[in-house]
Amino acid sequence: MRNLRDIPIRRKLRIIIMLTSSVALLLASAGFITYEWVNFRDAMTRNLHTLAEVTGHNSAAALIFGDAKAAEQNLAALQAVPSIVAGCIFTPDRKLFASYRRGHETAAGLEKPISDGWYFADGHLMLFLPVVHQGEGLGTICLKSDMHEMWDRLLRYAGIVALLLVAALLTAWVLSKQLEGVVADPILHLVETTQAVSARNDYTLRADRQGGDELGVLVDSFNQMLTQIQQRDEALQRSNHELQDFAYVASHDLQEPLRKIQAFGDRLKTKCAAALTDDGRDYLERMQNAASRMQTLINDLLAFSRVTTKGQPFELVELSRVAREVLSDLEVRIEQTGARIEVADLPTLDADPMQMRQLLQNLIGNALKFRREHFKPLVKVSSRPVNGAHCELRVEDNGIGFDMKYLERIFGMFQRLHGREHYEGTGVGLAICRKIAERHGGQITAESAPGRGATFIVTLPVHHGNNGGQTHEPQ
Amino acid sequence: MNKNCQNNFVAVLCGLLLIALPALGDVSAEYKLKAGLLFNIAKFVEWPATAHAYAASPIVIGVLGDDPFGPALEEIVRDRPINGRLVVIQRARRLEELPVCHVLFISDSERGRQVAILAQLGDRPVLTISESADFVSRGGVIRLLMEDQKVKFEVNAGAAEQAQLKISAQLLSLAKTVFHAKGGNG
Repeated sequence: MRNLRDIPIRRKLRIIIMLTSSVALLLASAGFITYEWVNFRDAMTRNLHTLAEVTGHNSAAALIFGDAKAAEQNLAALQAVPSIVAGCIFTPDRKLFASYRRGHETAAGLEKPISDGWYFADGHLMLFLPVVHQGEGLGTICLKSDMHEMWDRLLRYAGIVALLLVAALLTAWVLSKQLEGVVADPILHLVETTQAVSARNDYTLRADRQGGDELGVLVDSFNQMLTQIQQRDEALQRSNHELQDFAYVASHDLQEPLRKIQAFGDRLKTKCAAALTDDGRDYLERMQNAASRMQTLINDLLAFSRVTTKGQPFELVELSRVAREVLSDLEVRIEQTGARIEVADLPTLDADPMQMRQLLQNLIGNALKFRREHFKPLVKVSSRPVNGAHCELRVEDNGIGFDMKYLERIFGMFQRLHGREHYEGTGVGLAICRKIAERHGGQITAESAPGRGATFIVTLPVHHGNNGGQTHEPQ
Repeated sequence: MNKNCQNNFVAVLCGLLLIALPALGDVSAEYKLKAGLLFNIAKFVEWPATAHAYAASPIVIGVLGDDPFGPALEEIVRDRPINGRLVVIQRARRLEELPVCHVLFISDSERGRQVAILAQLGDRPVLTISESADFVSRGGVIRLLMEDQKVKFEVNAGAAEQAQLKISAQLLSLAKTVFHAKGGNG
């Protein structure tokens, strides 16, 4: 039955129809043949009974007058009935009085006559009938008939039934082929539609309703769900785009006044420093620090929004090469911190090269940044294939780690677990990492405990379809 | 006939020795067989409705002349009705002394008066039986005879028809000879 569940619905329907009709036909045929068999047996017994009665009646005088020859002549008349192979007449004291045999047939089974009745044995029918004349029992007549006629007839019936069965099954096959579509087609169409929807993320598709039955209701419900998803998807995309546009435009437009503040701050410092009091210089210093922090914030915000707005089409990216470039970028910090970085063999995959670089840079940079005091950082970068189509990228450090209850928070925008005074940064790095992973159809998570280091795990698809690397340009 | 005489002799001897069964001992095996045959023949003969006085009236077997059967006939017909009719035996020396018979056995002692008796019976529905050689040719219906130690019989179907008797084809098929001459003047 398990196998039946796994085969396509069209064939399943066919098998069910054929199986049901074969069983029904076979049962009907078996009933028909059994009925015929019983009927024929009855008729055969009846006929033999009649023959025995007639022959017995005709042999009454022969029995009464003890004329065995006449009785044998009577029995010999039975040769007109081909199925009768032997016949005997016994006297009341069970002595053989007269007998008849066809060809080489034997009278076996007739030697010990029962008083009245019949039975089937060894493919023969034995019938015993008392010969009575005017109420006086004169003896017993026994006839033995072979069953050839019955078997021939049954064989003929079986042949007819087999022919009918084949014809009926063929008709059922043809009919089921025509009719199975009524059930299978709407289902197959629905399946095709769902596959198209999920493969293309195209929520504008609709399934065609082909009837008013449950399948029609299913198609309607499915279409309704699609409409709802489509509406929600559109609304979501709209608000998402608005947000991205806003972030991009805002950060872009915020830079202009900020640059002015920084430029005039610099000019104030270089040209008018002497005119300022100590307090004034302190205020100026703080203003410039704040402006530079704002610059960093805006840069990070821009970087975040660029993940989707300025993404590049996917191409084959050698992660090992990207890792080498990242390490050379981070060379100064690695030397400063005395860190050891171990990079295992990394795969080549379909991705945005710049974003892969950003991803590794952020993760390795974080590993260096959140190091434990008096510990030399040790960072291990490795990968392994997952489920064939994905690869898992692991960046493991021996830094301060974090409590797993903050797991969701650390990937949020502007989320920081530690004060600015301890660790620099805006809290955007991991949010960007998550966004990159999601844009590539992957995900990011982490395992850690406070003081025990952290492992960041990025799962990415190795290959992408045609729709990889979608970007959204701001209006 | 020699053998029959011997049989008779043996039977008589046996009868003398077995005093307990004197009656049976009087009758030879041949006449026991003939008595049975006579009775059995009656079973396959159908009389016209006029031959029976009423529905359950008995079938009368008359023995004319010397009775060769002794008690054998009585023993055979006892409690064995034919077609629901009891069978009774009547004996007489002269035909006039007998009541209306269905079967008339004419003993060899009446050999000389055979023709007269048959003429006297005329067309009456009587199954006439005798042992004399020319009985059938003279218009009798059935003659009993011995052959190869078996009792056999001859039938004059014409005479039976004249007497309005229907003799079963089965019986005819067992007869040694069947004549079709009309009786009375043969």
